[in-house]
Amino acid sequence: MYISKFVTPEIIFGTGSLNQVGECCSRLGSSRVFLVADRGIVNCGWADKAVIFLDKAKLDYQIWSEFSANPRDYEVEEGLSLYRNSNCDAVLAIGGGSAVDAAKAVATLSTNKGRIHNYEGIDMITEPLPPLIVVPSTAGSGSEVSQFAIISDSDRKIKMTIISKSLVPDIAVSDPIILSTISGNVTAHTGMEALSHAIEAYLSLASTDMTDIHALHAIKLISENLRSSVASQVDETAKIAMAKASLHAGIAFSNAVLGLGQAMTHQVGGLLDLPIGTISAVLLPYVMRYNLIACVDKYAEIAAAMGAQIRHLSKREAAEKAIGLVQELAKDVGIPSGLAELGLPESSIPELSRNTKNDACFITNPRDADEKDIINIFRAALEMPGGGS
Amino acid sequence: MVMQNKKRLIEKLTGVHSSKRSYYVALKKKINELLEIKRDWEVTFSAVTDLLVFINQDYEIQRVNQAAVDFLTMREDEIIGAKCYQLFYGREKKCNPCIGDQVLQSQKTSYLQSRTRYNRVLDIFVYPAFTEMQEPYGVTYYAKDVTSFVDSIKLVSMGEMSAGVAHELNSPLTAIVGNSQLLLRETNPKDPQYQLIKDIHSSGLRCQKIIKNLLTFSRQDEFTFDDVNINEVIDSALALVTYQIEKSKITLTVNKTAGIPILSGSASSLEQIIVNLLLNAKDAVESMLCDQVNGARGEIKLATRIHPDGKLVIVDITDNGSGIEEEHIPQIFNPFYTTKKSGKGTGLGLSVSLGIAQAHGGFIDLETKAGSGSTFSLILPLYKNNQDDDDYNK
Repeated sequence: MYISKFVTPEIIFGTGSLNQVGECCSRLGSSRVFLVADRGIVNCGWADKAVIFLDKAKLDYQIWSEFSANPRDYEVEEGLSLYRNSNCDAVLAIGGGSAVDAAKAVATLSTNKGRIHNYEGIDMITEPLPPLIVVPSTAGSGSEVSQFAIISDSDRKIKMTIISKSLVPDIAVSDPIILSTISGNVTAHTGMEALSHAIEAYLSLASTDMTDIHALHAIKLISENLRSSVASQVDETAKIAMAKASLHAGIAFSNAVLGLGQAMTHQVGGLLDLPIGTISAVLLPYVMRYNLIACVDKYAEIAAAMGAQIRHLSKREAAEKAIGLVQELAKDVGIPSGLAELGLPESSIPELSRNTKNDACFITNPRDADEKDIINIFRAALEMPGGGS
Repeated sequence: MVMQNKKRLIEKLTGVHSSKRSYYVALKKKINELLEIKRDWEVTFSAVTDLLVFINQDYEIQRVNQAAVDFLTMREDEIIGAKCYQLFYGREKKCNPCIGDQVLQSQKTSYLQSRTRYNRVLDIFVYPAFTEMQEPYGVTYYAKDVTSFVDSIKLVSMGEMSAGVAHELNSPLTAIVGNSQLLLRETNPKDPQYQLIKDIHSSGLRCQKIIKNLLTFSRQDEFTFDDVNINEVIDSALALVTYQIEKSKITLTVNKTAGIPILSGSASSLEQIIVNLLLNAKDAVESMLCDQVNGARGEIKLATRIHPDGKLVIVDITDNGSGIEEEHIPQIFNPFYTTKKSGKGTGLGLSVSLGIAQAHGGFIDLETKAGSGSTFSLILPLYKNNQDDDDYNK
């Protein structure tokens, strides 16, 4: 039994809760807000909407959107100078994982000296961050509640993972209405990202009763609602369920951390400029197959959460069922079945496998793995459609 | 081992040993830093012996250093928040014009000299203070107490003035003294007017003497330097005052060192110093005897000696009189300063004596204890011998 810890930000949830952002910023002592919103969010008019609420709270603001889908170190530094020059004193992020990560990085550098590289790894942040309020626009990354931020190192061409309790936002405002502006494709891969977060958090060595409840509930909500959410942008019930699922998955993985699947995803993501959700969704069944013998019971619980009737099945049969259900869901929402479709060259596998072992997420994987094991998983995902069953 | 390692890694990853960085910690650190800075500046400012005062735009004193607290002779908490014009000038309304207003308007440093409360003269430098946003929010006053300097300038000009008056009075006095002398010679002593004329003559002489003193004080008097034997000077001084001293039942002991070399100086001026010091000693002893009716005997000792290095001659005049209160010591050589009853002293004696001693390249030293007497020492340089001359010419 490990000593564990459970951390969440304040969470405001509800349709129309975007109208809370002005009050939230003002309550945390801000007078000039740095509004981080990716271009998609600005184009959909959500930034303007947020500005109305900032105005109502009599707050000044500065909007920043100049960062890419996988935010880079130098972009974050440009954001920092804008933050400084405009005398901002709080950060409000509205967007997907990239906007939130970029916002977290700017907030970090606003009080911690040097470059963002200095804070790569676990608990490297020493100075408190300015107030950080996050409004997620996708149901997947979970970074509105997590202690993680991922920034690309433009020189080393890798993704840096920053892990710190200081990165947990002060307030997460989850408004399901915002999810309605997301296309089916993005809904699909972000939803699958949430599912892999939930499953890996559930299987994690650092999982606890507290995280398991959130993980299982997220798995249940996603398996019941992702299909309908992908199918229609205006299915409000599905959007609300997916917004909740994202929060639960985020709370689960922020506290229990992830596993081999996420560690491998980070490597592929550094190489191919693809959405993290797509990569993790493709890898998930193969990693689940490898991990199965470590926690058959938990696999059975996953199958149950995904709606399988397991009463008459053996534990092993139920566990196998979980992998099948994940594959089925991925297929239904249009996720490719293997890495070949994503264009991963086979020659890259040895190096990706080597780097996977150094990823922090690998630490909590339920089954030990050496480089050869990881190479085999990559190969399986590259060569064979389907995870095996 | 593997288990332990894994456990440690996972605990690190889930942040069991880390918390969200709190502003409380950062705030505490910052507050301590600021307190340190505050203390450093306070120590620095309290070391400054001039006055430092920060005043806001409402003329309220916000900060003062120790020198300012001492100057105002109030407690710091009584000073803070009080109006500057109230504390420094005792006014009910702001000064017109107010230099603080001017400085804030011009945004330039300014200076003024001003006589404040307690009759103190301050040299005041005024600096405008601005916020980070360049908005004026007060003024810093840096003030030097220059009262004694200003007053000494006043004394110098008084000296010059009295010298001028003395010159003006000299010619009419010459006529008064000369003509009354003439009349005295031609008037029969039995004539009733003889006494009147004699009074005019002696009063004229007294006036001339006062004027001579004034001129000496303002150093416009001329000395003629001759070879002087200090013991001879003492003899002629004693001839003048011994009677007065002994009449007052004071024992006078004279102890002259034989063989004191000749020095260069004005015998009559040096005699004036000795007479002056002896009469001061007599006054001091008399005031002591007035206070004490216990029959203690007044004593004055006069002694001459040569300083061990052979280059100075010293005349010590010691009395067992009233001595001098410590607070008066710095002022006793100032002209017009006297502790004697009015009419008794002019306040010129010691200052004139010191002036003469200095004109001889010497000075007057003092050792005193209130209630038990004083020793005034006239210290004069002796003739330099040939050896020394050679040294000086090298």
